[in-house]
Amino acid sequence: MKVISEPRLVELLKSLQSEYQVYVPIELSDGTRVLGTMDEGPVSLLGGQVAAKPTAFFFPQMDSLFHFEKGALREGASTAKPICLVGLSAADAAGLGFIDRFYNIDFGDDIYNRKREHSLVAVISGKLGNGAKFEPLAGKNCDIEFAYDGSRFYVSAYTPKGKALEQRITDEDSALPFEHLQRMSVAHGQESISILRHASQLILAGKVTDDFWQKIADECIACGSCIYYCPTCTCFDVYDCGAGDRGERIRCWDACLLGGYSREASGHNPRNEAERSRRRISHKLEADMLRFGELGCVDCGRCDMFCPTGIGIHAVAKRIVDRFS
Amino acid sequence: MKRVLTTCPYCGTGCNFYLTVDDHEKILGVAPSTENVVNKGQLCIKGWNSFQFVQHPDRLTHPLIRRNGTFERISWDEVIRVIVRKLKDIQAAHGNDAVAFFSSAKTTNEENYLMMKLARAVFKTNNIDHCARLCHSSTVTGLGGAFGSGAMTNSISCVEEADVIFVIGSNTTEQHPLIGSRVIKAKRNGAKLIVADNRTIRLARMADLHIRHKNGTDVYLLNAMMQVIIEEGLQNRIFVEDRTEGYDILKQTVLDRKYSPEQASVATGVPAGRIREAARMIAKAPKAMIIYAMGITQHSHGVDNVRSCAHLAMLTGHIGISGTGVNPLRGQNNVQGGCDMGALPDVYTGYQAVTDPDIRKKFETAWHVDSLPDKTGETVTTAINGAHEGTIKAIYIVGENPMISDPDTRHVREALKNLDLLVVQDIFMTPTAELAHIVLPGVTYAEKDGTFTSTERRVQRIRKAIEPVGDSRPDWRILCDVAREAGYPHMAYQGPRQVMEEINALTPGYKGITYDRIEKLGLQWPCLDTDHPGSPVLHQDRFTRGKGAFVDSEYRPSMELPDADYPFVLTTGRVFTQYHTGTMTRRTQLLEREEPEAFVEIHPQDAKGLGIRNDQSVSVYTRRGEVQAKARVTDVVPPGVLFMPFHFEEGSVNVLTNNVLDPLAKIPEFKVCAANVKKPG
Repeated sequence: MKVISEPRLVELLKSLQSEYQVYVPIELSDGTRVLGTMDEGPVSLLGGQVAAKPTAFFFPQMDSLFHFEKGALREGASTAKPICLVGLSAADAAGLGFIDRFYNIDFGDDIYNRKREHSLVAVISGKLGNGAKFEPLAGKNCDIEFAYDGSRFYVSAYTPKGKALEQRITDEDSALPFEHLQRMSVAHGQESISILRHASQLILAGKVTDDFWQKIADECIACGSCIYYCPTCTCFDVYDCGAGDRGERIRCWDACLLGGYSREASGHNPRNEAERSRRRISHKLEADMLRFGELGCVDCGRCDMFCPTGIGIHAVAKRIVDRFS
Repeated sequence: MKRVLTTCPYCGTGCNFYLTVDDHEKILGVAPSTENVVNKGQLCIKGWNSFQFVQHPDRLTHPLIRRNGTFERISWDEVIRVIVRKLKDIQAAHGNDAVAFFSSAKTTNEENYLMMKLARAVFKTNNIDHCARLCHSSTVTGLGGAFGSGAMTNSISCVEEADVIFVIGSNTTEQHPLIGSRVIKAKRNGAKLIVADNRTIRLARMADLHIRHKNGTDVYLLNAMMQVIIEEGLQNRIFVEDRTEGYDILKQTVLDRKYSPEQASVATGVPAGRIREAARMIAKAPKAMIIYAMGITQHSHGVDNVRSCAHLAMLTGHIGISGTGVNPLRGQNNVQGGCDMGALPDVYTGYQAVTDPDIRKKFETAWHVDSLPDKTGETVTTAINGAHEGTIKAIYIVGENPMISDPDTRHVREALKNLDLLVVQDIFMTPTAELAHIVLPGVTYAEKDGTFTSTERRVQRIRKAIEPVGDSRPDWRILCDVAREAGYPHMAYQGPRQVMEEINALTPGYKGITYDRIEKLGLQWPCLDTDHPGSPVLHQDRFTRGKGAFVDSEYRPSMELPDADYPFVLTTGRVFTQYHTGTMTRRTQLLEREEPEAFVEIHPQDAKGLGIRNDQSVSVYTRRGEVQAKARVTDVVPPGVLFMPFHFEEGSVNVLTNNVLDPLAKIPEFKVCAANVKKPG
């Protein structure tokens, strides 16, 4: 099996910069880790999943759809080089797989696909964060995966693009440590997933009462953080921003927690606050289950980590299980 | 792509995030800082959407001068010459104090410092003030008198350590979402929550005790609670004895029969039992904290309200340790800094009095001037009144919008139109700028360097992420250009860092707060030297003034109460997706979509009586004027009360509000006036 040391992997990623716009985990000035270019800050491959969702590179918070001027339309320039994203977690990769599907159901979203189709996506998994943290292996949903065993990365390629990159790595070694990481991954996260599944079943069975959702709504300040952090949230709003006969059509992240998301032109809102809180959770645990047979939550943990009032999807799922099972 | 660490330009919480900027200088989004102790990777909906207005096509991009009734472009050199010549002409004809300067709580500390230096050192007037006058001037006066420092005594993180949280006059989850969220978490973790607010705000829904006292009866309520505490012997005797003075004055006031819970019940509308219960909960708590905001301050008796909060904390000894304190939540991103920098008519930086000859001498020496004006200047509110009366002839406004934010808009319009010179420096053509003779394009937080001071006294950096749009210029640079043109050579700086060095040298509390030290995380003042760790909790062993002072604080009713013609109390406030006069949020898609128009909350019982239906357009009117708004029929307000947010130019509640001022703080009574409502036609 191909293996590579951390410094060699950094070198390899640097060499990709001629073909790709390469984003890797880096540390910004106050210690916040993001996926960024290597000149933005020190590379930080081993710190685990970054806070901001990587899917934002393909579905950004603000995206210019086209410019208009005196009746003529001009589409935004596509990026000169395709994007290479390195450092997704397995959950991130699953989230990317989820929205790849979403943006290509029935018809392809060309704004999304234009960024996505020539991209190269790499997962970093294994014993990260000074060995204290374990990121399970993805095994799919990416082009290539680098699994760290505490001393070096074991390389798995899943697509032709990934395999081409894998071929540029020369060192080989026994796959035994990698198989150990695989075994660790199978057991990892089962408990939290099972709570989500249990809550999903209870919602699907109609057990969760309206007063429960009102209680959650009472505790929700509608900051939107859960949605803005969620790698499977895909809702956007479209608006024109301009002056006179020129301007720009923009799409931006929307949030189903906002009243304006579902308010009718009449002013009536068919979803009250409790209903909006229910939708946030039940879309992931109920609607996606019915449509795709799988949860819409990829268990990345971000909404629970960053919800200011502590009502991320796991926290809510646990309260559902505690109260209704 | 680059990411630039900065501080949110909306409320005073002081959340940090990175602006993500592409190679074409377009801001694409924000990434919250996960390391900042204030927000820890969290943001509210305004923070997440805090950048779209920056590159909005409506931005002012060129200096403008009014000629023959319309605005025309003018060069920077010429406009600065015109401003200086006109200001000097007016001062020559009418005296130095015929000119007033309004600084801005939206701009940086450095800019507020320069604005007050410009007013005092260059134009020789103490007529310098900013919108703190409209939000927390009563805090600066009230807590300054009681404790010696008019700022939040504790830190935001203290919310999570309190056993009892008493929120009075703060809709915390909407106006300071990431502080409100901590209250929710604290409550879930076992803290008791008391909310005193007659609207059923979000926090009231989960409160252990919701006190719906009548608008403007805060002093009555708090005095009654203190009577209960003293009568039941629940006061902290040791604290009162060791740390305070004037306790007899307090006792004399609050032990009066009129403040008995039963009498108070009549005056405030709160059941006596609930007053007793609240008093006991606070007095018996190991750690109780008071959180307040505009519901306390924006009254003709705002200073008394603030004092009563201070009295309650001192009486129960809930001050000076973490998890306690009197915690005014400052509204604007840098309103704390605007005050700290001396953009106030009576003090220089760090609340050093202009009437103190030694202090004046210090600033005269530092600023290389022979003399500085020695009498306290006019406030934002009294300067507008002065303009109306003709004593103020020119106002130079940076980043304020009194046509929407100040009480009695007709009066404000008449006052501004009465001026010989109105200069407005802003980022958009606001209703105030539309009345100006000269409009200068300043820049947003994303186009300049500097610092903001948050509500917890934390001085944090903002950083330039993009070049100024069009021909706009950083506000600090414009102010320096005006000073230079006026012949003053001592306002030439390389940049904001050098201005901060001057602030450090002149301001004891800011002495240790240098750019190098706050590169990653801000420091909380007072920070007395470059080794000082900053001060998360004030008044730990002694109050800033020595002993905490109890003073007389009798209840005084609001100035305009309901009567037969105007049977409702009209109170004003804000909503969570809009910000103040809406110049920024109303140009941000999701924020504007959420609350796009003026509304008035009215209780179902009142609506029924008047035949008003939900979402119907209605007229709200007072003795000052009439505006249209959508009726929001809801029991969030009690019967007899109307609530309107002040963000909306097209249904501006400040057309209706009453321009009466607290006698000491000169803050207007935004929270209470008499009004009526009717269906149109």
